[in-house]
Amino acid sequence: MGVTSLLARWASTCVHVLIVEVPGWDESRMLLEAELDRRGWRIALSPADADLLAVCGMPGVELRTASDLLWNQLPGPRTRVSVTTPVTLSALLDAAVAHLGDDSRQRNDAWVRSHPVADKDPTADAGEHESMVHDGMSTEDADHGGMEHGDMDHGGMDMPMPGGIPLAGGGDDRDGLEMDVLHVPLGPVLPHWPPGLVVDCVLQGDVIVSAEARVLEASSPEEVPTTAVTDAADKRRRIVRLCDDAAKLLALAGWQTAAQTARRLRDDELLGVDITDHVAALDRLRRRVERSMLLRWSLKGIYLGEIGVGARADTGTAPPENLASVDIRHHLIGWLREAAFLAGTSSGVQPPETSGADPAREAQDALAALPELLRGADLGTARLLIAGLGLDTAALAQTHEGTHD
Amino acid sequence: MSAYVSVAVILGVALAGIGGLYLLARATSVSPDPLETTPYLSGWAPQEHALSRFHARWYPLTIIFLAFDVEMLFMYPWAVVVANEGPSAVIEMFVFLGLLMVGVVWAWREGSLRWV
Amino acid sequence: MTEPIVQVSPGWAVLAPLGLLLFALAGAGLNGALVARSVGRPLRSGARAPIAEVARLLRQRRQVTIAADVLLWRIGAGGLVVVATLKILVIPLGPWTLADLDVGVVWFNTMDVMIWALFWLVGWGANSAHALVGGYRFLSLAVSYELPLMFALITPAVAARSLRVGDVVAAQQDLWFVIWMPVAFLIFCGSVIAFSSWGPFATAVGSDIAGGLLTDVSGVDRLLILTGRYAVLTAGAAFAVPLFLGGGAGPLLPDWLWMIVKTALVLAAFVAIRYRVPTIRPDRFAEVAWIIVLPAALLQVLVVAIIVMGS
Repeated sequence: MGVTSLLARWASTCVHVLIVEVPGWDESRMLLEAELDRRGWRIALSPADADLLAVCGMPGVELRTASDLLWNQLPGPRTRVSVTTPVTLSALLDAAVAHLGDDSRQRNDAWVRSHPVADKDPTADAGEHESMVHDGMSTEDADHGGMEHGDMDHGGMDMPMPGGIPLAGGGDDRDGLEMDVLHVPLGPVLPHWPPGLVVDCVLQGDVIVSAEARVLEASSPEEVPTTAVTDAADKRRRIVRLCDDAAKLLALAGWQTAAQTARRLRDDELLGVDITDHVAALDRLRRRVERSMLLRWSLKGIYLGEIGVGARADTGTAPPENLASVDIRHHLIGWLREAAFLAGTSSGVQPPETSGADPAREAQDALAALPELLRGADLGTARLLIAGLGLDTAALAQTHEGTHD
Repeated sequence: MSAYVSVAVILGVALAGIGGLYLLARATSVSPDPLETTPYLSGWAPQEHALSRFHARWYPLTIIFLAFDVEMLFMYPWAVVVANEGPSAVIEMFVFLGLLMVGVVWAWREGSLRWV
Repeated sequence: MTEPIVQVSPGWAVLAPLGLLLFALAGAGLNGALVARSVGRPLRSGARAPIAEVARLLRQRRQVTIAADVLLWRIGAGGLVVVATLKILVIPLGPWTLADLDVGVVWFNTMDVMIWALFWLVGWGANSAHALVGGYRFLSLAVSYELPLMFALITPAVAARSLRVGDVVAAQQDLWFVIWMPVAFLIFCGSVIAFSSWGPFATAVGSDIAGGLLTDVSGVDRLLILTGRYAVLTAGAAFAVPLFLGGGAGPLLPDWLWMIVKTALVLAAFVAIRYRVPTIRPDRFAEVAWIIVLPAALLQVLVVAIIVMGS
């Protein structure tokens, strides 16, 4: 037992955390991330990589189902926490460490999981999985319009179903070759992903043949925390959001050091660290992004078209002459410029463009445009495009049911 | 010959090390038997198996690669003798390589190196 | 001065994997320290992170996905460490080598091609969409980096008139190859980073596909893959030394120590670059690799061949 407890103690210094973010609870998630950085913990990219499942906010039914499924995918040792208020965060994580380190408890958990008689979860899983297949198929057929494709799936009775899951069916690709199609949902829980967003993709290889987008809700919109609506708070929230969006996009572009800088600026702003330094720091980051030839090359030609350009990219600069030349790198630079501009203004000044635009309307338009935007893109490009939208899913979840197809 | 004995020894050590690590992990991990689970799909169950005919969009590139790769077969012996064989060996090899490069450039112009 | 290289008894081969692991651990420690610095934590806690990570993964339960191709999956995971150990077999440590193969350079090349299969198997075996995409991403990158790498490997061999690694070291008595074949050196370094799925070439394990190859791997299986990546990176760094950096040549210190110092420096450079540059996407890289890098590698071979003939 000596060895296992020693391993448990060492392991407790680098807990890997899978974060489930409920729309509207972004500040909880950011505070959690800041705390993870402080402790030297890591953010997990998938449940197999995670020890701790942290749900930020109060999830609605679907999001709760998703997080329960993810919970079943954590290999163990595992534990879960629900993060709603920043006050108890540190104590919550300390308790999680204690739970993870409790060897007999974890072994017992593992034993129960591998002996399904004593466990209710697998049956619940199977039922849920069944209904999911049905849902997916019906919406898919309606959109895809492929008769053969639909027939093939429904005639799936005679096909081999290893593990109770059907094999992939074929479909013509853009070169006229018959290739298998996979139904791969992106979201709600993915690294660097807009909270609650679900994009149901049909993939051939790593190319998106068709996609549908929707947003999963929080448990009840009234419960979404709204900070005081003073100008100062508004401005601060906006800067935090811009830095967060920039950090996500930079992380997806694989530029970890720049993403980390953006995150630290975000955290400083969130925690209210001295604001005058920020303008310079934000400008430095922006110039670094502008100068990077490699980033320019790797993001070149990834356009969002008209979505979001009008409202965002032109703070303190000339309006873009040609929409087609505005790729997501320009959005990124625009965000950082706007953040620096806001950080530099005194608190009385209105943010330049949030005054006119309605964030919910804007997000609604972006969501509606997603399927068309993603068609024919590969997964990597699709992820960059979605990050480039800076989609405010909280605004969507607050207004209505948030479904779109 | 003893070189290949070293190969065998090192291979044996590496495999034994991996085997030992698995045995160790059986004892130290919270459960010796692996957890069976569905693959991670952002919180959803899979609708079908992922193993499938994958659309590798870059398949034209693999053909070009193969052509060039077979050429490497000549390149290794050539590297050893080129200094002794003199200019003719250099000219012959680089005319050959040049022809292959012309093929690559042609394929590039046809768009085979782009697959976005 | 460099002594002639002698082949030591196979018994010493037991130590080679150990040395490789120590280097890999040091590399991971440096990586941890750099990460710690970026989040404003003490460097020392970061340098200890790999140990914590090993403990964590040893404690974590392994997992298999439904209907996974488990045999192929595990071969891919374990194979990386094996391939890396086989790679370092032909690298002379000062005056000693384990295998003085007359085709040492080809041996290294053979081993790095095995990585294609291994990474792909890791992606295929999991029966997971993200992992599958990761596996194919690696292959699409591989068809771009492999040819320039082969020509970069052959360049020192042309100059040394031999494919034996010992001869390549001996041929650098007067002038290190990195001085007059810098293009080949840079291409070699880039390819090492690429075949380790590292830094800007880490698209196969990218966060945009939830960790790709690593998505559904846990416990000791994950530990093997992560160690394997560090190990092949280390093997690549170590091979750069006899190939381009004069092997054990250097003042004051003995040859074997210079080998270690130079390897450590190259490895440190590889680790340092990891998070500092944006991802190079395979689909964009293909064009550059075939139209710019490959001709540059060919020109480098041509220049070297002409110089060698003249001398």
